[in-house]
Amino acid sequence: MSAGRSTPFNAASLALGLAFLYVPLLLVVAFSFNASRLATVWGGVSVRWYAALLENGPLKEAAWLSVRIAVVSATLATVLGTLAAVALARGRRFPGRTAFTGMIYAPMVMPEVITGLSLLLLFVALGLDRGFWTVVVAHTTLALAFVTVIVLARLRELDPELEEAAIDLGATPLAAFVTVTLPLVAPAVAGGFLLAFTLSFDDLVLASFASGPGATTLPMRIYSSVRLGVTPEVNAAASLMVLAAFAAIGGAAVLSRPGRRA
Amino acid sequence: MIDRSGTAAAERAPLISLDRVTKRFGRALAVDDLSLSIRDGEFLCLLGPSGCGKSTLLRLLAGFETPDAGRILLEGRDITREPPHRRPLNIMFQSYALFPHLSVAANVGYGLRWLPLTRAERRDRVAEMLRLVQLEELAERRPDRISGGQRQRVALARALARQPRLLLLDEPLTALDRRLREETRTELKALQAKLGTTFVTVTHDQEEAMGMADRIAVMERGRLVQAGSPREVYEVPANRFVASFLGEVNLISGRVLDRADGLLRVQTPLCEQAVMVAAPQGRDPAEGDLVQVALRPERIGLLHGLAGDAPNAFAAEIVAETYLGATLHLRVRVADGSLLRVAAGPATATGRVGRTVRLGFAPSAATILD
Amino acid sequence: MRTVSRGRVWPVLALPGLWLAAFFLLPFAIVAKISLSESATAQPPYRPQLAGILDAAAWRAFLEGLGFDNYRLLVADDLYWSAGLSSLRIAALSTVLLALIGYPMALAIARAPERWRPLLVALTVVPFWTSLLIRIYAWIAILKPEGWLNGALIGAGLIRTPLSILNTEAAVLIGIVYAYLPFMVLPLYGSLERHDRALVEAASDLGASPLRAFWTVTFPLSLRGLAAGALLCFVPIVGEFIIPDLLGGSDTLMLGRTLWSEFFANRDWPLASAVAVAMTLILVGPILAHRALEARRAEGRA
Repeated sequence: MSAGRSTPFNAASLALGLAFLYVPLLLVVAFSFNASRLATVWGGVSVRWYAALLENGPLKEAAWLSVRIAVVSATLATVLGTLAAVALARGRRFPGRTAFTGMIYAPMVMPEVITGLSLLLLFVALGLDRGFWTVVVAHTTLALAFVTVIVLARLRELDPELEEAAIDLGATPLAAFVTVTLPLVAPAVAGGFLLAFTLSFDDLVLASFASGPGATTLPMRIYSSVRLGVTPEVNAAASLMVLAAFAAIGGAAVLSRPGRRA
Repeated sequence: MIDRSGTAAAERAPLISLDRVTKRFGRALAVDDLSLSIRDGEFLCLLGPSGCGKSTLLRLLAGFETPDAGRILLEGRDITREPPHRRPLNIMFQSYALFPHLSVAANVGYGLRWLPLTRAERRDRVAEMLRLVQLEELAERRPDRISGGQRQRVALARALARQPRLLLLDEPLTALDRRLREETRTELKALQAKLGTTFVTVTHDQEEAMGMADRIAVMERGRLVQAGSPREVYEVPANRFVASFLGEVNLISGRVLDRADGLLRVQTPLCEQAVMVAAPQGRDPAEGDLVQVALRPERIGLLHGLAGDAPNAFAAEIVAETYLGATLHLRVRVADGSLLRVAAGPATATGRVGRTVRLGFAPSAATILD
Repeated sequence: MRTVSRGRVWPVLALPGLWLAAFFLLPFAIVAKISLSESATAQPPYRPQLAGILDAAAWRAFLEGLGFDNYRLLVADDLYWSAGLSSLRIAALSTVLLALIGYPMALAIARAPERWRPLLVALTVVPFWTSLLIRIYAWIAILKPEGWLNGALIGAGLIRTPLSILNTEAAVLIGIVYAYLPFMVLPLYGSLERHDRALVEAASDLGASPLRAFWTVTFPLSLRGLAAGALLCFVPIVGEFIIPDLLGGSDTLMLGRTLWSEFFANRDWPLASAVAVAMTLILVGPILAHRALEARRAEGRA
C-alpha cells in the first residue's frame, strides 16, 4: 500500500469481492438457457424455460400483482420520503427533530419480521381485509426511509442560496421549490423511486405478513416454489428480474448524468 | 411623496432607513443597534472584516433574516416583516447562485416570470439585459459552460432584470481573478451611473470599496463605525480601527501639550521637540491628554539634507526597503526604537539600509485619534 | 443561519410524520400490548382486542388481562435462549467477516482513479437491486451436494466426495456476507473517500511507511464509517429470516426464523409478539448507537 495510491493488493481485493458478488448472478442467467432439466448438467442452449414461463399463469399473475404494488408503494414512498427529506434539510433544529429522524430511519434497520408482524397486528386490530393495499402500506413504510436518505443527500449538496435567489427574484417559497429545488433534486427523487420500486418488488417478509389469501406476490410465489424444489423456470424468471434491475439502474444512471436537462 | 428637489445626494430623502436594527444568532450579536440611511441613487459600500455583520445586514435588507429589534423602512414604509419575494430589491449572491438547470437567458428571465408581463415583453427585457452585459451570444448556454466573469455578468443581469429600487451585491468581485477584478469594478461603477439604480455592495477589500463606492460604511463587530466618502474615511478616520482597516497607518502615541491656531502640539517619541498636528474636528483633546497620531506611510516625506529645519522633522534609520515599482516601501527605526512604515516615491534612491535619513510630515497629513 | 424557511417545516413534516406514527409506532405499541395478552385459539388468535379505547371499565379489564406469561415462557424455554444467542453470534461473526471483506474493497474503490469510482460503487450496489430471493436461491444451486461448487471441485479433482455446505451455519454465513456486503462497503467508502489524499502523503513525507501511514492515519479516520457499516449490517442480520431459512439447516436457530414459525406455523401471535419485543430490546442499543453516529455525521457536514 503506497501513500493513497492503488496497489495490486487493492486491485485484487476489489476483483475478488466483485467476483463474489457477480458469479452467482451470472450462473443463474447462464443456466436459464440450459436445455437440460437438471440444474447442474449443461444440456445445450435453449429458451424453453422462458417459453414455459409464459405458460405459467400463477407466476405471471403474481408478477403483475407485484408490479402494481411496487408502482403504487414506490410512488407513495417517493412523495412522503421527499417531503421528509425537505423537512430535515430545512429545519436544522425544531422540537422533536431527533424523534422524527429516529422514526424515519428505524424501518431501515429494524428487522423486517418485526415490522411485518407489527403491521399485520395493526391491520387485524383495525379489522382491515388484507390484500393489495395492506402490502402497499407495508412497502411504503419500509421504502420511505431509503427515499429520504437519497433525496436528503442531494438536498444537502445543493447551495441553499439557489432557492434564496429564486425567492429574491420574486418567486413565492412554493414556486421557488417547484421551479428550482425540485428540478435539481429530480435525479435523486427518480433514484429513490427506483430503489423503492425494487425494495417492494423484491420483498418477501413484509408481504408474507401483510398480504391476505387472495394476494400472492412474485417473491411469495418464488419462495414457495424454491421450497418445493428448484425448477429451471425459476432461473428464467430470475434472469428476467436481473435484466429488469440492470435496465432500471441504466435508466437511473442516464437520469442522473450531470448537465442533463431536468 | 418624497421630496427630491435637493440636488446633492445628501439632501435627498433616504431610500432605505435602518432604524436601530439588532440581529442575534444564538448568543452572538451579528448586528448591534445599527442605524443607517441609504440614499436614492447612491453607490454604498459596506466594508468590514469577515464576521463584522455586513453580510447579515445584506440578508436583513433582502429579507432572508428578520431583525430581533429595530425597523427597516423603504421610502418611509415599514418593510421589516415583508417576505423577500415581495421586496422591490434584488441581490447578487457571492456565489452568483445561478440556476444550473436553466440557460443563461432563462436565468435572466427567471424573475420576470412572477411579474405581470406578456411573453413578448419578457423576451424583450431579457434581450435588453443580455445586451446590457454583452452576453447576447451566450443566451442559450448553461451556467457551467461559461467563464467566471461571464457568470458574474449573468448574475448581474438577472438581478437587474426586475428593475429593482436597490441592488444588493454580496462580495461581487471576490470570485473573480485579480486581473478581471479591476476591470469589473470600473464596469460596475459605470453601469450604476448609467442606470441610476441604488447599489449596496458588501466587501472586506478596502481597495474595492474605495474604487467603487460613493460612500463607505465601515462596520466592526456588528456596529457602524463610520460612514462617509472614501476620502473622508481614509483621511479622517473615526478611530484606530477605521484608520488601520483602510490602508496602512502608523499609530504613534503622544501627549497633547497645547493648542494654537487649530494646531495641536503633541509630544511624541519621534523626536525631542513636539510635533504639530491639525486639531480634529468635533473633538477637543485637552492639555495633557494621551492621544494617537495616525500617519499614513505615503504622507511621510524624505527630507533632503540631514539638517533640514522643516516642521515635524525627525531622524530615523532605514532597516528594510522593498521596491514595488510604483513605490519604495521603507521600514525605519526612530529614536525610541519603534518602527514606522514609509512609502516613498519610485525615484527615491535605494540601497540605503542602515543609513540614517531625515523624515518629515505636514501638520495636515496626520490625524489625531483617541 | 438560514431562517427564511423557518415555520414551514411543520406542513412539510406532517404527512410523513403521520404516516410513520400510524404505520410504524402504533403497530409497535400493539405488538407490545399483544405480547402481554394470553394466547387464544379464536380468530384472530389473541385476546383482548383493541376495542373500547375510551371506556374506563374496558381499560381496567384490559390491564387485568395483561400478563407476562409469554415472557415467562420465553425465559423458561431453552429454545428461545439458544435462538437468541445464536442470532447474536451469527450476526457478530458475519459482521466481522463483512468488515474483513468489505474494508479492502472500500479502500480499493477509494484509491481508484476518480473517474472510475462511480462505476465501481455502482458495481457494488447493483446486486442489491436484484431480488435477494433469487440471489440466495443461486447460492442453493451453488452449495448443494450436487451443486455447481461441488461439481467444479470434483471436476478439478480436488475432492472426491461432495462437501455438505448447504443447510449448515457456514452456508448461512456465506449467504449473509453476500447479501449485506454493499451495506458494509458503502459507508466505509464514504468515510475513506472523504480523506484528503494529502493527509496520507503528509504521513509518508513525515517518515511513516505505507503500512504505518495506513494504521496511523487512514484507519483511525475511517472508524466512524466502519462503525456505521457494522451497525447497518448487525441489526438486520439478528432478525434475518430468508437466509437462515433457505440456506440453514433445521438446527440453525435464529430469532427471525423463530418469530416466523411461532407466527405462521404455531399461530401463537402473543408469543411471536413477545419474541419481537425481546428482539427489539436486544437491538435498541445498537439502533440508538447507529442513530447517534448518523446524527454526528450530519452535524459534521452541516
